[in-house]
Order: sequence, then C-alpha cells, then structure tokens
Amino acid sequence: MTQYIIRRLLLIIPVLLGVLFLTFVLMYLVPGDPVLTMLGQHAEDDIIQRLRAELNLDAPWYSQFFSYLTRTLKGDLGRSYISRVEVTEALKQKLPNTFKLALAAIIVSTIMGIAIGVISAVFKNTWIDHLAMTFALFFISTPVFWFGMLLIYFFSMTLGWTPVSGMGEGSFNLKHLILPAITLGSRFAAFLARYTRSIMLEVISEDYIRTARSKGLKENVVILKHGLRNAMIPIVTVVGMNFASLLNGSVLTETIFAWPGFGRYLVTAIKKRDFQVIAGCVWVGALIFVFVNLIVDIFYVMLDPRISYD
Amino acid sequence: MFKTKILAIFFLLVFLLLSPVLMAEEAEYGGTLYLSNDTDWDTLDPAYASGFDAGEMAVKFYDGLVRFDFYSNKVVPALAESWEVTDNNQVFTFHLKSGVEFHDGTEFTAQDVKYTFDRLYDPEVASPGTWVFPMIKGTEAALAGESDSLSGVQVIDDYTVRFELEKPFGLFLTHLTLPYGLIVNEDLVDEHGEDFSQNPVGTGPFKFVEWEHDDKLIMEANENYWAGRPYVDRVVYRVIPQPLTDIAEFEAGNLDRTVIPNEERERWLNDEEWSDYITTIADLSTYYLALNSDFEPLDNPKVRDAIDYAIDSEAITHSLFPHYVAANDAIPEGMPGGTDVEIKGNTEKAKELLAEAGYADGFELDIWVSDGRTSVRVGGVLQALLGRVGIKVNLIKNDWSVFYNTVKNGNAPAYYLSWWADYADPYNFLNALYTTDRIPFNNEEINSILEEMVVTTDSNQRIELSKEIIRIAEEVGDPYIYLYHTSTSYVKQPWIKGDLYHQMYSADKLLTWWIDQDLKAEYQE
Repeated sequence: MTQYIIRRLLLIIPVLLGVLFLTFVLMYLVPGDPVLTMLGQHAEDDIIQRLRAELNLDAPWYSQFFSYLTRTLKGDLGRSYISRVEVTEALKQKLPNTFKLALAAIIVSTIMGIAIGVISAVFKNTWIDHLAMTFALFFISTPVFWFGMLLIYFFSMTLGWTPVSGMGEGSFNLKHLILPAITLGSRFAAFLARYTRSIMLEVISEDYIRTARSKGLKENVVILKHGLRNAMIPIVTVVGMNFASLLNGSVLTETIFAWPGFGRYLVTAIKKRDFQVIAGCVWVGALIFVFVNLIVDIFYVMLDPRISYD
Repeated sequence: MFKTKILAIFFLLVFLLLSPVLMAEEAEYGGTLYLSNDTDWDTLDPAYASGFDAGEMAVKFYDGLVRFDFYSNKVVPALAESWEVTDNNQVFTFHLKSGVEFHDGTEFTAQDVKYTFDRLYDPEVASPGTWVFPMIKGTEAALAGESDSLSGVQVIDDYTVRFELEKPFGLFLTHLTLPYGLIVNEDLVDEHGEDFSQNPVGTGPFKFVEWEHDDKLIMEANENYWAGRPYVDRVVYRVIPQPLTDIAEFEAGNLDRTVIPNEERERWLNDEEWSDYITTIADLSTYYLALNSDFEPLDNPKVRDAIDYAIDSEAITHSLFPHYVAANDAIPEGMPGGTDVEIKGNTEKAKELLAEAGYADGFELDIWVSDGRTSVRVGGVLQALLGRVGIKVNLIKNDWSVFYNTVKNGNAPAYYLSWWADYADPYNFLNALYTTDRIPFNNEEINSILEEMVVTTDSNQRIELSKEIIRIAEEVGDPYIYLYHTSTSYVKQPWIKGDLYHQMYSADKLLTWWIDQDLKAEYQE
C-alpha cells in the first residue's frame, strides 16, 4: 500500500508539469491583454509598452514560461496583475470558503442521493420509485441560477428563515451555508439518486443477496450491509470526482449567493486576462483534483478488502 | 382689523419661509451604513485607480488638493485652502491647510503633494494615470527615467506648493479632482510596499478597517477629519455580483441603499412603498456606434451619414431602455456644451444617401460588440435597423478583452462602445472621441478648436467651442452615431437621511449621510 501511494505521488509530478505547460500555452495563445484591462480607455501606447515590460509580458514565450515554472515550483504564485495581491494570499482566503461550501454540498447531496436511490431501488416500479425519480429528473433539469433565486425568494424573503447571501460574520456560519449548499448539491443529489438506484438494482439481483435473504437475515440488513456496501465502490468514485470538481469552485452558486470562493476568483481573472491568477488557480485546482482522486483510490481498500494495490 | 390681517399674513409668510429650516431634522451621529458594489475593487491605491469603482472608493480614504462640490458642480478647496493662478494660467500656487493628519497621525505637508505627483510619473510605478497631468513641467523627463522628481512641482514651504505648467491648461484644477490627484504619504507608501494598494492610509473621511476580497470592505469614521467627521461610525461595503441578490438583500433590510436593476426599474418606480425613496441620476455617459473610415465604404462621408439616418436612436432607446435619454450628440444630459441637433431617424433618406454613394444595394458591415447582455441587445437592434436600408450587419461578439484589443488596434470596422466622464466637462468627451487612435478620424479644424478648449478657463467660451465641434463633425460626416445616455436609479431605506447623489463618481465622500436610528428600530421591529 505504501509503495502504491509513493508511486501515485511520483506520478503526480508529470501530471502537474503537464498542467503547468498547458495552462501557459493556453494563456499565451488566447487573445486579449491584461494591460489594456488595467489601463482602461485612456491607455497610451508608451504606457502600455512600459507596463508590459514591467509585468515581463514583452519577454519571449520560453523566457516567460521558465520564470513562471521556476517560481511556481518554489511555491511562489506571483501577484495579480490587476489588484497586485499575492495569489497565494488570495487563495488562502478563497479556498477555505470554497471548501466549506463544497463539503456542505457534498454531504447534503450524498445523504439525499444515496437514501433516495436505495429507497427507489427497494420500492422499484411503485409510486414511491416514480415520485422519487420524477423529483430527480426535475432537479437534474433545473437551472442552478433559477433554483438559487427561488430558494432566496422563498426561504429568505418570504419566510425569513435564512440570510439572503454572503458568509456572515465569523469563520463559520451555518445559516449562511444552507441555501448555497442546497443549490449546489441539488443537481448532484438528483444524479446520485438515479445512479444509486441503478447500481442497487444490479446488486439486489445478485446471488449473494438471495443467499442472505434465504439465511433469514432482516431485509434492512440485507439491503444496507450486503447490498449497499457492494454498491458503494462506484458510488464513492462518483462522489469523490464530484467533490474534487466542487472544490474547483462553483461560479454560478458563488455568484448568486455572493460567496467569495475560488470559482468567482478564477472566472473574474479569466475575464480580465489576469494570467498570474489564472495560472495559480489552475495549478492549485489540478493539485486538489489529483489528491482527491488518490484519496478516493485509498478509500476503495477500506470499502472492499478484496482490492489490493500491492 | 385690517392691521391684524396684514400682521397675520406677515407671520404666515415668515413661517413659510422659515419652515424648511425649522423642520429640517438634526443629523445624528453613529450607526453602520450598509452599501454594496457589484464587483470587488481592483485597487485602493490612487496611482492605479483607473476604474470608477476604485476611484469612488479611493476618495473615501484620501483627499486631493481640490474637489468637486456637490451643489455647485464647481471645483472647491479641499487640502488646499486657497490658490493663485498666475503667468497666463501656467503657474498654480496652492496654500495648504495646516494641522491635517493622515490616518496614522503623520502630518500632511507640501512634501506629500510633491511626492504624490513624483510617484505618479515614476516609470517603475507604471501608473495608468499619466495621461492626466502631462502639462506639468518635467513629466516627460521623469517618465523617460531622466529625473526622479518633477521640475514643475516645487515645495515652497511646508504649506505652500507650486505647480508650473508647460503651457496654459484651463482644466488643470478639474484634472486635480481625479483620483490620481489624491494625496499619499511617502513613508506610508514605503511602509506597506507592494501591499499599499490593500492598505489605504490617507487624510480622507474614513479609515480603512478590513477588506476581504470579493466579500466586503469595511471602513470607520475618521474622528479627526479636517472637515468634520462623517455622521456614520462605520460603512460596510458588500460585494454582491448578482443584481437580483443585491435587491433581495435591500428588501430584506440588509442594505441601506442600492442600485435598482434596469429590468426592475418600472416596478420600483411605480411601487408606492418605495417611490418616495428613489432618486434617479443622469449618468455622464454616451453610448455610440463608431465607424472606422479605414474600412470601405465607411471612408465615404455619405455612407456614414446614411448610417446615421438609418439608426433612429429614439427608437432604440424607447424599445430597449425606456428610462434612458436618446442621444443626439456626444454630450450627456446635465452637462453644458451639448446642441439641439435633431435625431435623424429617416429610412428613406438613408436609402437615398446610399444610392448617391453608389451603394443602392447596400453592403456588408461587421459590427463588433462585447459579450455583455446590453451590447448584444443593442447589436441586435442595430442589425435590424441597418437591415432595413440594405446593410447586412454581421455582429461579431467577443469577451471584453478580445473586443477591446481589436477596437484599440483599429481592427474593427464598426463597434459599439461608450464613454463615461472622467470629469464634468465637454472637453473630456470630445477630446476622447475625436482624437482617439481607435478610428482614423483626424479633422484639423476640430483639433485646433480642442486646442483652444484646453487653454481657456472661460466656461461660456468652452460651451460655444463644444457646440462648434459638434457642428463641424456633423458637416464632415460624423464617425460616431450617438445612441443614448444612461441614468441610474438608487433606492434607499426610509431611515437613511442626508443622502446625496452626484453625477461624478469621484465626488461622493459620504460625509452627509446619516442614519435615523429610532426610525430604523421602528421599521425593524
């Protein structure tokens, strides 16, 4: 197992180098200029040239790439061209916010999704199953933007139960987290319910389930211990992948709820061609994705003792 | 009896005259003002404050030598107590206020003024604001790295500073009201180094408390402010990117004032509960379609005229933005210097002109727009209007960065863009539009009138010169088709008093705003 983890960790290096290179190439090729964004409509040519030189944007591509590579590998993600804030400092603010939101969303969606999926599978083709799957279809098809505004209107404006937006005071404020987490998690919950249902239907028809039933085990033990546990491996993979992508920010939810997270930070930087920020975000995002994947792989062993990486 | 009546009428008149004074509420100190903005601020360093958002925020922390007055729309003293203008408008001697302190207690002196302007022209600082004061002697040498300090800014003593200009510049005082002219202190800039833009320390009415990017910016009243402390103790600015969320926060009572989204204006203006608390301000903006004569057939003045006739700005404004004003020239509402030129809007005449120019069957035209929702909507209407006279419009939609890069380099045959005032003078609009490198328009007569406008301090003459430029542009086939001027509607909570709204973004220091605490408590019960 240890060897497997070391091997996986070593494999991360070429992946991240590849990400660094691709990000740089994309930024270099994409049209648009951060200097013009910074200077506005008054930009005079000599000022543009001076600022480009100051930001090292007039250097040849390979020189820009190597200075970017060496700095990034040293852990220095540079400063935003536009705000001049250190990207590392900004990420220290944004990532915990995104982590809170992603974690809350994944908890809500996983519990809801698996529960509804299992119930649907158990009550296959009954009105419960049909109702659950209709709801699932509804939430998969619902635009995030509309659903978020609807929640604000109903829970914040009409009932006054939850705050409208923002993170509130202090480092953790559960009330502020509820609506964004539901908005962000609803679509995945719906997807997971459908996915869990189909996996569970497969598992329930297996011989060992019939054996378990014939041994006289209680139905809930059969379903939860023998059925769900065996269905968990593909479910954990999907949950893990989704968690990793949620950690890379959720622009729409963050925008609706004025949540100062990673997604908004990255998208604003892309609009302004703030290359330092884009590069820093993509690099950190890739790092998160790779590590979450590794953790998911390690989870497999815990869930299924038959899996061995040695 | 008659005498009693006269006396009664006299007292009634006196009462009526005095009633506004007697009834004026006494402003209260204290409380927190909750405001919002749709984007985070790029910087709080005046030397980089190129955008409206940054400039509007910088004036809360910093002061300039002079400022725009809310009521008279004139330049009035700020850190400078008085000034003399000598040598044919080329030498400005400012006498500074004494006893003014920066937020950390450092005393403000003439040295700070000198440092602010030297810093602005330091090539290493690479400020985007160098276009504002090129008339000061020594700026060219400083930018070229030949000198560390501007020869045209001289410290006479601790409270006197002299500016020498290369040539007379009638708008020098006006230019000093721009955020780039806000005064910073050298030691404080050095102390924070690259993080100075995140830690504003000025002489302004508010002290910086905290800034969580994309979330909120908090400031507190400067108790020692030289013009008297602001009424409110604190101001919390929240960053709320989505207008509908913003208005929901307002309705929930969490914001004290906000901008009504355009789509919602009709509903709010007709809502009896709120209509008394809404103020609409004409923005100093002009939206236009520019025609680049480097591209055929736009080099033909008749074709440009035909396009002008084909586009009815009244129709565009009515159909898309009923609360805006249709534009007939470059000068927005509320700014002197505009003309009463008629909005054309005549399809038949447009067709005639096209036929005379040899394009009776029309032609294809690429119009560049940015990907903002408004741009795309306006682009669609332009496409339809020009289609009526046989001009087939290809709308080329790109994100702002690509769009502006193309336009800036003169590669867009036609584009839809706007100009927003840096300061309230027609020169700012006419100079920006008719001497730009985005289109190859170069009219010697207009250029020489602009030169005259630069020099004169006579406001009546400036207005006449402005009208003259608009007239000449009309005659030679204006490369701009002016579409509309925008306005903004603000709504405030009933407990907010003393709220002033100004057309110039750089004039709002929130000094007069106060909160009626009892009324707020009553509403929130």
